[in-house]
Amino acid sequence: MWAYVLRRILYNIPVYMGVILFLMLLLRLTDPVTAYLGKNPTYDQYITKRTNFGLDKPLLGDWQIGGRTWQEATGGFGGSHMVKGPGKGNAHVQWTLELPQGTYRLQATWPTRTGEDGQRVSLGSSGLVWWRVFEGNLHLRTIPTDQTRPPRSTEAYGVGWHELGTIEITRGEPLRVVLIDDSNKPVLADAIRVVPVRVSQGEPPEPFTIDATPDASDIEVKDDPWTFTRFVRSLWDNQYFSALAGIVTLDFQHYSWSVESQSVGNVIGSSIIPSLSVTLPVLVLTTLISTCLGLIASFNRGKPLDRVVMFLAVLGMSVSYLVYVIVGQYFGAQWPRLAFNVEIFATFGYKPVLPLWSQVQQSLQDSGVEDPGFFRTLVAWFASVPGSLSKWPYYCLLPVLIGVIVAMGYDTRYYRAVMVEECNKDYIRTARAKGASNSRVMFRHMLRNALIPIITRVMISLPFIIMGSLLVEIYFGIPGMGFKLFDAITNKDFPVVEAITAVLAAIFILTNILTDVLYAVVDPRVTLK
Amino acid sequence: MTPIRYQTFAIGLAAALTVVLACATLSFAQQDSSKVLRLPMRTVGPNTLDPAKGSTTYDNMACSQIYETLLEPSYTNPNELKPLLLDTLPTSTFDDQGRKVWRFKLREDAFFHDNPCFPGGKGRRVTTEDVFYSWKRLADQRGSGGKNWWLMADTIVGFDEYKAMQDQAATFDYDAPVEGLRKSSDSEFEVVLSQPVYRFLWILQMFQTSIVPREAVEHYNADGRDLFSANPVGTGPYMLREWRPKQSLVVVRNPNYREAFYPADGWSQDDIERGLAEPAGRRLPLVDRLEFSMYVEDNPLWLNFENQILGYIELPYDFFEKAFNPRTRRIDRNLARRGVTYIVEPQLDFIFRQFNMEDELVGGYTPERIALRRAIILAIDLEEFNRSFYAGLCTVYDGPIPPGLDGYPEGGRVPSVPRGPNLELAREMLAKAGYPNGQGLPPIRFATSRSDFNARQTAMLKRQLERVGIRIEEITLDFPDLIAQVNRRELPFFGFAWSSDYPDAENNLALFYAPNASPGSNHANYSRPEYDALYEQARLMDPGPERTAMYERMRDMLLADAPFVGSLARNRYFMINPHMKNAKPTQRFWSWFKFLDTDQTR
Repeated sequence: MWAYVLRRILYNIPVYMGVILFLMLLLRLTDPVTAYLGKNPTYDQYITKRTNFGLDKPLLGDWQIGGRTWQEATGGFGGSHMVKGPGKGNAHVQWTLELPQGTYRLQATWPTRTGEDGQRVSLGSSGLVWWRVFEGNLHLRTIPTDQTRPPRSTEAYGVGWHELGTIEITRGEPLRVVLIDDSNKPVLADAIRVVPVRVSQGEPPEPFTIDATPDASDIEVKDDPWTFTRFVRSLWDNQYFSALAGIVTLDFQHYSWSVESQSVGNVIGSSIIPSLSVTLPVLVLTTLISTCLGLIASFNRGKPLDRVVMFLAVLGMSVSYLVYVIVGQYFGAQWPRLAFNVEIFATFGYKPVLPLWSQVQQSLQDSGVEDPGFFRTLVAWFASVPGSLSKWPYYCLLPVLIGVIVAMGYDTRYYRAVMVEECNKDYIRTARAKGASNSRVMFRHMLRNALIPIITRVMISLPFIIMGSLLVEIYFGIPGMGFKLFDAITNKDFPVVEAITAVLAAIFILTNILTDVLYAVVDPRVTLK
Repeated sequence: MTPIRYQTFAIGLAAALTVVLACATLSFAQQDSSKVLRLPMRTVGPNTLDPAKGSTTYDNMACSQIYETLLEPSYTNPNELKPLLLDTLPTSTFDDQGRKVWRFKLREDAFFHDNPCFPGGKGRRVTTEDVFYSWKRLADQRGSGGKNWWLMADTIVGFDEYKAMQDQAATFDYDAPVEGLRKSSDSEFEVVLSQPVYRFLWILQMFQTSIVPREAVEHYNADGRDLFSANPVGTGPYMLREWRPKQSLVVVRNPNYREAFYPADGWSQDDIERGLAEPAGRRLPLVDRLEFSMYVEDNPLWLNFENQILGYIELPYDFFEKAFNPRTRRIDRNLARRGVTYIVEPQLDFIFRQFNMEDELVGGYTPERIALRRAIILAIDLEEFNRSFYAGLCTVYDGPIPPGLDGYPEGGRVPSVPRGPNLELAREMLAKAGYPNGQGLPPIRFATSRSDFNARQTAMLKRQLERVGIRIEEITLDFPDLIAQVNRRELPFFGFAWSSDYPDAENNLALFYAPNASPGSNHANYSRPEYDALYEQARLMDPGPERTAMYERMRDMLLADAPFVGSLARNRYFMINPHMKNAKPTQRFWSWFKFLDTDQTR
């Protein structure tokens, strides 16, 4: 059997690697940093978030092959423009202008075409293109632009211009306008326009434009050339392999974007047990109760007892989860308290079912122990386990009961169907003929044979119990994975989304293997080869 | 199972049960007599506990317990400032170049929390250097994101230049001097302002300007990590015990908190009747432990308030009819019987609809144009908006100055200006504008940002204006597009709301100051030299009857020219459970939890 398990695991490793690659590609279809920061981030914010999530490295291999140089293309202001594939800020197009001291408005344009409805449509595909403006070496500002939209702040020379902002030349050094290739989509360089507002002496000159062409004297075009060493390094030093290494070592390095001080590992680690403290009891209780009910119902098929059980099951299924939660909260927690001043369950909140290591350490320190060692903390931890566990009914039993009521309807119907099928098999008739009692037939013969569908159903729900239940978590204040994932998705917290999804995929694959093994254990007809 | 084995099993089970029970009792017994107050945070709570990075109300709520600012609004009257980390209120003079100089003196008894980042783990005294360091952090684009730089921008002499220098430097140099920050001694310093604006002092009460120790930032943020925002070290009455992001936050009493006392003077008669003055002279903080829980859904929030677990809540609109009798607007009988009380706090809100004064149709200053705008104003029934969209909880008032501030008209009404709905007068005005019964008047384009709420409001506006023959052409835009078009002065009539940044009418009057015209905050592009002159003068004045009189003149000028339709201010309803004592909840600042007490016997 072990050989089989090993083989299954080995077979699943490449599958899992493929899943992770697919997941990472999916999350990177648009630029995660832009999605998180919106359209107007500062350059520093952008760079911090990007480095934090490792997005400055290639995903797998060096994605820039073929897009390392600026190419001339037709269209745009003056009939041509330049385009470069996605890059990391190593390449740029720079306009250098000698201007008298004064105030100037800077504008930029990029090529457009006329769409079907007569509106202008941009040829650009990058939603975030960075312009950096310097006077000599003094950095004046960094401006994000969206090249997916046509430039349209003003019109001049028959094209639209996008306002980059107003700058001031105070020292009389040359103005440098730099368009960098720091983007995950191709970047277009076309032309800039300078509109003098005020100059220190005399009348401001007329606005003028400078078109980007590789051979113009005031334009510097810098490429990001291909080098062999960088290519080799990118084969292993990339996002994909660091993500895999993180999963294998269970060490999730990235930090959450919405709560920057919290590591992704911490987010997951702190929410698995709260999730399990509700979902695991729900699964165990529901499975036990509904298999029994299913057995009884199938045994009494067509009789009033069966009808009643099925009626209740359908009733349980047809009422919304939320109704159970709200009604349960009221009658389970609120009403006893208001009417009789009896406190049975908490309406909201959670205390750890297992003591937290850091809390134990803290309370030891509070009671005067200077530096509690590992062993001392371990003893104290075990001592506080009963105390923590004793809080479980108060905080978690009510959501568990609600969860059981909701899940029972579905499960009972399913298990009854399974059992009904078994009822008609020959071996049942044989068992009866041999004089076996009803309960012996039910629990010894039928249940054992029906174990395969039961195991399948339980195993399929395992990944979901680790994910927890969003509704229960929100309404009862249980800090589980369901809420964490939901919150991460709504906040576009990509590092957390990616890690939780990766963990979930791993659990799916592990339960798959486990299911196969369990089949063999319960059913001698199945052999593991 | 044989009898003997059964016996052993029973004894073992009994022993195990005893141990469990003993542990359980012990763990309950540990919950000693220390005073705990449980408080809510709506939504997922703070994202960071680093004041320089914080921005939301919940960042504020958490940081204000742990950190302190130089000044703090007074608990007795939140429109007044009082010293917090300062010894006395700062004094101001003008230097030889005519620039305003504020002189500050720090308290000698303010110490940081004990923390491993300090030598020997002992918190040290707050000095001038800490103040400068904390302010400079706001300029540090890379270190703290520069999100809160707007508070300091264009305020202190040389500070903007300092920021520009550091932005382009390889590393941010905190030791480089800023011209306008002058250290006199370890506890005294001067600040030279580039513009003598009164609001500077109000910025010093905002939590983003809290004083943080450099050691802690450098200790926790070493090697590029951002752990300072989860390991706050401040001077406040409470220290962080545990923060579980998006779930709960616990702070405990700072054992070394300086001698600070509950305020004795300044209470209004109303407050005295509520018993707020009784604890006068007691040492702060009054409660040992504050436990915050985050509530994403309002239902459990309400249930836990009803259960008397939470000390207070801000009443969600959906629960208004549970807490109050919708007809009489009195508090629900069952709640009143249990001792629940409430406080209404008017918000510094200015919800209004603006005309673009440069528009060819509705803009302009001639009597006809003013009559047209007046006709629109008179046809609109703001009380109906209040009833339909805000459960009648808003205050309708005249002018741009929200309730509670200097310049707010008595009872919200300026008697010389008739308020809508007055259809007869509206028709008269319309005739005066040259459009009798709306004849010849093209539809007026009215723009709002895309949302269900706005769509319903626009429908009501349309219906109300049609009563006198004014037609509205509805334009719905995404918010960024709305802003962009407003900034380009393309829209004639549009809806906006403004929340005061600090309790001074100057903040709202600036919305009509000509140099602030679009793309600035004067979206009406209102321009009247007399108004601008008054504004420039009043901005530099300290509060007082003279300044209030000027505010009133400016307000009446606006009402006469009618560049906007308004105004509405929302009210917050705070429900308070009887066990929470000394409560005077407000959203203006959050450092008032130290004044709260809890009655454990209830």
